[in-house]
Amino acid sequence: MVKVKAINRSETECTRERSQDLRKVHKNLDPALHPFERAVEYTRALNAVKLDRVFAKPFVAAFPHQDGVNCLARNPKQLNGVVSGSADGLVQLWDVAGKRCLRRYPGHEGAVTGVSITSDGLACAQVDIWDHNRSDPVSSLPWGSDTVMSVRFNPAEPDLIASTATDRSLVLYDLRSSTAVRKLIMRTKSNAVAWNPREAFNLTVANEDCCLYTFDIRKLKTATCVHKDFVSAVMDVDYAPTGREFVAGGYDRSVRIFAHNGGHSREVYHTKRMQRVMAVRFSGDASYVFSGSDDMNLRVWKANASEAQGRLLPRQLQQRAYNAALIKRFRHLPEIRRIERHRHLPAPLYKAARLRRTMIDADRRRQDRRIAHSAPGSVKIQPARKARIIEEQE
Amino acid sequence: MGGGSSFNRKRRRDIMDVYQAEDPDPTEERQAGRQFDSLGPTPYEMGSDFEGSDEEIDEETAFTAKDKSQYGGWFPEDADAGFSDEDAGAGDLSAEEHEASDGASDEAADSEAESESDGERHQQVLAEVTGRQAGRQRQQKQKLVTEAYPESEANLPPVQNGSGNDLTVADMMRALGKDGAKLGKVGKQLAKLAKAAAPVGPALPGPIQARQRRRAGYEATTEEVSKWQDLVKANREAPTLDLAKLQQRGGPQAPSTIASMTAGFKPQSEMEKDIEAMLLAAQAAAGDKSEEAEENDLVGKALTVEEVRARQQALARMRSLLLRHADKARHLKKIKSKDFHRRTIRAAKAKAKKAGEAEGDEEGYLRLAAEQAELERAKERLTLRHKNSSRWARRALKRGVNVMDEGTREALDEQLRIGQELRRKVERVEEPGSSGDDSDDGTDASDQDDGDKPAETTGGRDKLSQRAAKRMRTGALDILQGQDAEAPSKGLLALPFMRRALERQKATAQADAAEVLRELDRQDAGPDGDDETGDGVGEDDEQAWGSGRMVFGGTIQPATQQAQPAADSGESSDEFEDAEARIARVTQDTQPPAAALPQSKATARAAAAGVHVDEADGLEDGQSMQPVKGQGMTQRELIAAAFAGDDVQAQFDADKAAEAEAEAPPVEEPSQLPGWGNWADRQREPAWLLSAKAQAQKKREEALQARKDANMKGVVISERWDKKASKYGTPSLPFPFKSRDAYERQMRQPMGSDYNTSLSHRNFIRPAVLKDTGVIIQPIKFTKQGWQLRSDSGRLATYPGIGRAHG
Repeated sequence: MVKVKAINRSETECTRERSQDLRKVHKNLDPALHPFERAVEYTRALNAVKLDRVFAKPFVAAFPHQDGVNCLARNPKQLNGVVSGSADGLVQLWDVAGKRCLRRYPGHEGAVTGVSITSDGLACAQVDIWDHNRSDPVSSLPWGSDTVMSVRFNPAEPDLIASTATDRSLVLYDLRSSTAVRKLIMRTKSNAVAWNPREAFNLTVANEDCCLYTFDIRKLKTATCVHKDFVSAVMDVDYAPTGREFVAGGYDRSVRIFAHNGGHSREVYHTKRMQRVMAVRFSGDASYVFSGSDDMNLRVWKANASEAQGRLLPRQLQQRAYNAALIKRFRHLPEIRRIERHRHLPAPLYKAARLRRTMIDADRRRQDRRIAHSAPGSVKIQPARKARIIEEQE
Repeated sequence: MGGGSSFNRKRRRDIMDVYQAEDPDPTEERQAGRQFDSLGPTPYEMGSDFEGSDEEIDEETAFTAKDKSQYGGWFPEDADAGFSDEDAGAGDLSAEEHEASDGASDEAADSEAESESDGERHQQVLAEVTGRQAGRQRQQKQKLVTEAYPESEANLPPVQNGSGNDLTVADMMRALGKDGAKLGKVGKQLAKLAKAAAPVGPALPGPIQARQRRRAGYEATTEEVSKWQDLVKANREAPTLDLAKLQQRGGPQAPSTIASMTAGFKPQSEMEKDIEAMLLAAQAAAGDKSEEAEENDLVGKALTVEEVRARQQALARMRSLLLRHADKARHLKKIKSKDFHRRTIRAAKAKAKKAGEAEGDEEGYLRLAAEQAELERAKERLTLRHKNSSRWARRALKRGVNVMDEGTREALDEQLRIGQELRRKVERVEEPGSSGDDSDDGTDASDQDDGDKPAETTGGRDKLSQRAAKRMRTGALDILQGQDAEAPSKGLLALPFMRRALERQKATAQADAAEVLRELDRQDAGPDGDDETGDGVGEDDEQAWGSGRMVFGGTIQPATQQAQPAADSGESSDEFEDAEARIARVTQDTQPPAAALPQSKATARAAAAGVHVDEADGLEDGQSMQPVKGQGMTQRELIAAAFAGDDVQAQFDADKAAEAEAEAPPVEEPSQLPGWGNWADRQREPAWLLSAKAQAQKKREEALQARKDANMKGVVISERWDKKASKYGTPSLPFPFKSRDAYERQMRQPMGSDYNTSLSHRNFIRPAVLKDTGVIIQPIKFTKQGWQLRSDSGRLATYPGIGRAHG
């Protein structure tokens, strides 16, 4: 008869009587017993970054409309609900978790160009401040006569409003002084604006010149960061509630996620059937991204492409955190950087990006030559953060 | 001042209405039929009543005879008609007159005068705005009016008026002269009034106003949002932003205790309501109700006096029992075992001994040792257990072994055993390199055979040392004659510096050999002395045995004997002599007085001199491995001799040079083509070749000098390109790092759980943002409290908006 040894562990050995007691350590931490730690962790990081790419499946669901989706809004009080307005004048309320349409609100004659869910009784259209119980606006904040493209309240400072208009302007309003306070004119039109919900004085605008610009409203003469990577106009932008990243949708049929201070996108999402992205929103828990596009679909994406959905065990969570930490630490090493940054792009997007890069390089070369053949100091170089700003109006 | 208040009112209105026309008609009338309020006339347009009023009042009619009589003195043309003098008194007079006339004059006259002065001002404004004269008619009229300041009943001459146009309260006060000082409180009020009633400028154009409003609004907004600055900075710099915890704190909190859960519990479902009803019916509902019922029950029960007393007594008994038990336990705890005491004593002794040693002074050490030895000796003398010399033993032996009973035999055996043990110990002490327990005293053997033993051993040792000396002598002679191997003509050792080093080594070896020879000769020359001492020892031994004195310790005590030739009364002398005196004597007799005792003994033994020094009865032992002294070769010399011809440094340098050469970048060097420039009469290399070679050599040297280990002695740092290791490193420093040290430090620390404790592992891998999926993250909120905490303590962790590292 073979004696079978069962693995057993008595509870008394592994539990502490007092909080001051030391925990039992089941391993020997002597460094001599664990040589080559750097090589070992490098290999782990390499595996982690490969697995990260293997598991990157960001697409979650698509909700069909009868016409192109023009605008999106999420309910600030409820995680589940997303409202989309489409070009045929239909507004639909979606249950994201159940992947179904809860309500349809027909009634608009033309296209729906803006939709918003109210939380505190104020809804805005252009720069009239409305009370939703009244038929007249509470107040109007006029400055200029051009069409306003987008308006956003500051989530942290509810008295601050930012808007963009077709006169290539970004305008700030303050409800306390009940007036517009500052206007910034750029070279190209800004399609959308979004406030950072955790940094009250920072906002990002989605510009027609393929870039997004983050501004500190106290220093509008220069952008704090220029976010590049799109190859066509950026149509919409929305911050994650964590304030650490934002999502932007482009006319080049891609959705990109940027770090709040990242010059290039961390992630790019695209599908074969997705057309011009007109609206994007982050979910309330910063885990999902919604995009509405011309191809009559509202799409749901994961904010972190390789994140597992559903509940994870603590050990799994720890393992993921370890993998992420390893990737972060070894990110600068060539092999790991190559794998981490690799993204497959559709051919038109890839070629457009290459062409753009060529043009930018040519410009730079030309500028270098101009500097080389001019008197020292005669050629003024405008940094990219200032180059697209025309003036700041008072 | 009766008329003062009305005067003030009038005066003030005059100052405020600088640019606006005072309309004699009431406002209602003027604005009848109009829909909107209208602002006052701007500087660009005339007042609606301007022309009319101007035309109404003619120059001649405006300035009536009465006025002329009143103010004529102010005009230069009519100076003679009115008040002629412009002295200080005139001011007073005019003021008085004005005061008198103020009450008397009618309102019509007043208004007339005012409208007149307003007309003048409009003219001025018009002139300012349009830049030309309003019209010929007025031009002509202006020729007639020559005063440079507006006409008014209260106007003062320009001499006293600073601005020329305005009359200030100060001017009026000045007119009062000395009396002005008496006004006191009123004067102060007037001054305040003058300040408050400053003229108001015209409204700016709309766009400019709007711009200013925006500018002000922007400044206010900037200031307002700047309050977030510190918070945002702290949040950005925090290693982890714990949003999950933040939301929990802000959101509805789950009840933490059962009490808090039950406190606010309200039955909602049917089942809960049923249960609640049942509990109430059974009076078992939680909370106050049952407690109340219990209270009521207790109130109903009353105790008698006897019961209370009995209860108290029982309690007292229990208490005393408890106390006694506690006392007993405490007592028992204090009792220690025999073993414990024994150990304590031993430890104390050891400690004392150690302390004696640690004192460092030889004297204390010796004293302690001597005392101990004396104690042992006394014990042995008292019992003589190791000898069969007692009367009882002698009788038992006499009776014969066979008739002995078992106990006696055992006792005798025991005696024998002890004696043998001691003897063995003595012998062991004699043997070179032996070591034994020194707590027991040594003694001489009782039988005569053992008496010769030390002498024999010393003789043997002598032989040994002689043999060693002989060997040394031959070796030294060999070295001196230079019978070593021929110097190599090839390889590393053939290099000039290696050869030099070898020669140097050889020279030192020869010197050492000569020294050794000299030493050996000296020893050979003086063996008599040694022999004598050896003999002396022998004699001493005999003497010792002959004296019959019982001696403890190593073997014999020649020094002691020498010092005490008349040792026949040994026992008595021992008794009389106290320990300290004895120690002093012993130390005097030993040859090196300063040296430690064990060393002196070992030295003597190693020198094979046969001198036996008795030192406090064998307290030291195991010291026989001391280095040999006085043999001519120091430790250094011995090592040098052992590793002769082993030039590690030179070999290392050569290796290093070879390594550096191999790792150096290849330098192209021109060489001549075979057959070119190699004629027998032209062996010289061309100049260009020479210079190119020199250049190459220079480059090579530079490359070698650029190595990290170029100026390091005894270090080789490999600069070989390691392809496998290259993937772990980066040529340039990654972004957030400023120095390579910091980068290396971070990279060196592994993060895995197999290298770290679980706590530090978790700290390493904690993500930058902690959040829960499925929980809405609210926008950041500015709380006064958090702000206060932050600004007070300056610690980031106190602010709820900042993730803190939790262990």
